Amino acid sequence: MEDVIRLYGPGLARTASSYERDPALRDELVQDIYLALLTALPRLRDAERLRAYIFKVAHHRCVSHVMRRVRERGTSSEENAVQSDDPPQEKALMDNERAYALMEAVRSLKLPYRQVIALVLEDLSYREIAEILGISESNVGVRVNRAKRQLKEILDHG
Amino acid sequence: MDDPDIETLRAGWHDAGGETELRLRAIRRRRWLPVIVTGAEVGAATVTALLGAWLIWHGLRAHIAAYSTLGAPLFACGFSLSIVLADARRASLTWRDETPGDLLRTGLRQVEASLRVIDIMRWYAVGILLFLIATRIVNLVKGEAHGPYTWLATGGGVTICGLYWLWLTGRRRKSRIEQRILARLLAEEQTA
Repeated sequence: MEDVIRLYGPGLARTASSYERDPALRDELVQDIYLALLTALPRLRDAERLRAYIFKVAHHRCVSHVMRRVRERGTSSEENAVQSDDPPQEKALMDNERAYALMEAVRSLKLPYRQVIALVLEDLSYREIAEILGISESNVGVRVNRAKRQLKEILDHG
Repeated sequence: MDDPDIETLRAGWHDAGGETELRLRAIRRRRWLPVIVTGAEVGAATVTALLGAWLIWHGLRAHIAAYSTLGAPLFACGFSLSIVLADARRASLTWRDETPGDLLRTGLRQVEASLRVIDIMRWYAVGILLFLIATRIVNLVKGEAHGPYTWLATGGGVTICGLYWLWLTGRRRKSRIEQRILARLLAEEQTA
């Protein structure tokens, strides 16, 4: 089980980063995802669905995290992210400027677009993304195109 | 997916990672914590129930009604609390196969339910408050000999109800904001 987490760890950390900007809360979120995986993985029957299953659990925990933040603070996490003022710390944690700019851009997208683009960038197929998000494959395509367009605008004019 | 835009973005995306080993060490320490906490909670509730049962038994044997009267609520609360706690923990540890949309819908329903409960509790607090004030106005609570005590009891009750109402009003305001944000997130999910 730990090998699975080790293999997908960086991807799960990126998924958490796309939802939470605050480094301490993000770390907590990643740990929550790992704990959820420890509970959920034994229930997986079809090993071929492992990758999709792992990211489904991760996004499930991340959306729960957003809802918890809404409940605790009365604002959504993306609104908090705008108010947060610790980018230098995060910048130092990320390997380069490009990764930091991209993550910032992804975080500024609305939730449905952020989810699809984060999953596409993790190299999941449209079919897997559709399964994770509970939408049709054609809707995945529509969301990806919109997310790409918005990302391009943000990164070009950002 | 051979999309050149995505390939360009992906190159930047994969530069952002994390310290997996560090986090794994942290969850190795953390993973038993919920079990320990639940064990302690259920244990405390069970001890309360057992204490209640002992008081009932002792009261009945020694014909002391006060013991049995005290033991009955302890037993009932401790017993039901231990079941509720164990069930809540089991539910929280069970993986439910839900999509982000399902989660938002469930969250919104829960907020709406809590708003209804808060509204009921606010009226309940107002009801008690008015009742306590009315008892003083019509002099329902007569107790010239214990005047200061009845005033203290009524005043205390009014203060507690007032503070409770204020707290509920604050809670209601936060829940309204939560409801609005969740509704917006759900609308974005449905229209995307």
